[in-house]
Amino acid sequence: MFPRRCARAGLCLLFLSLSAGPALSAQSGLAYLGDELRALQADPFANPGLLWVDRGEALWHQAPPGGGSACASCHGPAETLAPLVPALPRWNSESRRLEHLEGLIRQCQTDQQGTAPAPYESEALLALTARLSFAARGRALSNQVAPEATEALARGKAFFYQQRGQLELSCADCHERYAGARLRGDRVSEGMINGFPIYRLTWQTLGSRHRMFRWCNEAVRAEPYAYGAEPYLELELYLRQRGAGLPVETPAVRR
Amino acid sequence: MALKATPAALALALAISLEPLAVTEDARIADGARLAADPQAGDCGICHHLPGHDARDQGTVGPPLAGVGSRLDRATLEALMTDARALRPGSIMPRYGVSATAPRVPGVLQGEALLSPSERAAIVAWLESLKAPTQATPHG
Ligand code: HEC
Ligand code: HEC
Ligand code: HEC
Repeated sequence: MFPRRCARAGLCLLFLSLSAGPALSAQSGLAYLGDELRALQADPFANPGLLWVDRGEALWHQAPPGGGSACASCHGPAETLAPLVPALPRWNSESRRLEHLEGLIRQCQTDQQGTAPAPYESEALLALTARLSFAARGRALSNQVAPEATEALARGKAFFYQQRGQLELSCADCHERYAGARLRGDRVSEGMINGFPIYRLTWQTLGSRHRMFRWCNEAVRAEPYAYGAEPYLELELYLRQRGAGLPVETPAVRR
Repeated sequence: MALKATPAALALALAISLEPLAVTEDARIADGARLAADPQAGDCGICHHLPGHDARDQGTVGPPLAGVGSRLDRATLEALMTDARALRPGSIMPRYGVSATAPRVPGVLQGEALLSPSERAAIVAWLESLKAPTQATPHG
């Protein structure tokens, strides 16, 4: 992972100064932020993402229209699902598919609450995702991948290294080779997913992992995939494994 | 057009074209500078520091472009602007003069180069004009 551009002395110093801790280990996007945003993320009153966590807590206890039960009435406190979050996406051996947090929430809305699932990127889905991820704060992203998911993991990795779009750039071109450099005003991070959903200043709102993938695809003029699409689930699985050990820090604040 | 190029005709043509040519070259350089910075066109500032722009909004992925007209000759700049990855294998600088072969290029952009020949010529003219301050005369 050591950037080739370390040949250029200045950037080498930059890189070394960023990698406090074990050499060449994964770094959260937090390590690439300026002091101001770092402070904003850490501030329990000013972090704008906490608004969604609060909304999520309210939704968790609220019965859906039509006589269904609230999430809490079956699951108890949101904290009971905390161990699940750092292990997602995971392989479902019955459906033989990958599932991520948004998908599990939507499935419960359909199967257990008898309501229409909240659309991807809706305030309700972001709020519930934020609430459950917040419950997992500080827990390390898991390294575990079911043997049945080995091929999906390999496809996720291939996605990360595949150049795409009119600019012909891969995720790795930016987030591995040039991590630490600046793309226009933005310091490029390692593209880790431990802070999601993130409050992104560019968006002026909270956004999911798949929204970020779509944004990064469009940045290189590549056709994005739909929210929840298989290639994004596979990519998400690879990124979870790539960032294994990083603590969940939802809701992260990013540029 | 089979005009006979008599010395007189040539002299006349030169006299007419010289002044406008100089103006056109300046205009072309200005055009190149604009196209290089424009996020809808070259968008070179995403990776490079373009002289005259605030460094805080500029990229550091590629080298700063100040003085590049003294470092590289016209042929090299033209080659870079056509297919940077052919000239510098392994580079991530996009290929501005050829259509992408990578997957997931949106339908409307398929078969399209990032920049047209005239846009690339303007950017090359601009790059060539970026001389290092200490070095008044280029050495190719
Ligand atoms: C042209 C360069 C570029 C490419 C290619 C690119 N990204 Fe990004 N990505 C960015 C920038 C800029 C940001 C915002 C700054 C940052 O957090 O790194 C970003 C942010 C991210 C983040 C958020 C990181 C955090 O800490 O919250 C993730 C995740 C991410 N990218 C994943 C990807 C994936 C997956 C791909 C490939 C599909 C990809 N990126 C391709 C430039 C790129
Ligand atoms: C009527 C009871 C009920 C309600 C209401 C309910 N769930 Fe569930 N939920 C379940 C059951 C049962 C499972 C396990 C399903 C399975 O394994 O097939 C589950 C599984 C889940 C899982 C995956 C947990 C795991 O460890 O695999 C998540 C996440 C989840 N629910 C979120 C929610 C959310 C968010 C809501 C509210 C929008 C909700 N659930 C409402 C009963 C319920
Ligand atoms: C995705 C990032 C990226 C973009 C966008 C980009 N470049 Fe580059 N460029 C680079 C890199 C990296 C290099 C260094 C060459 C290498 O990779 O070895 C480079 C090198 C150059 C050089 C040679 C500089 C030198 O001193 O040797 C020139 C000139 C140049 N680019 C011009 C441009 C122009 C003009 C544009 C916009 C039309 C542009 N670049 C867009 C990444 C980029």
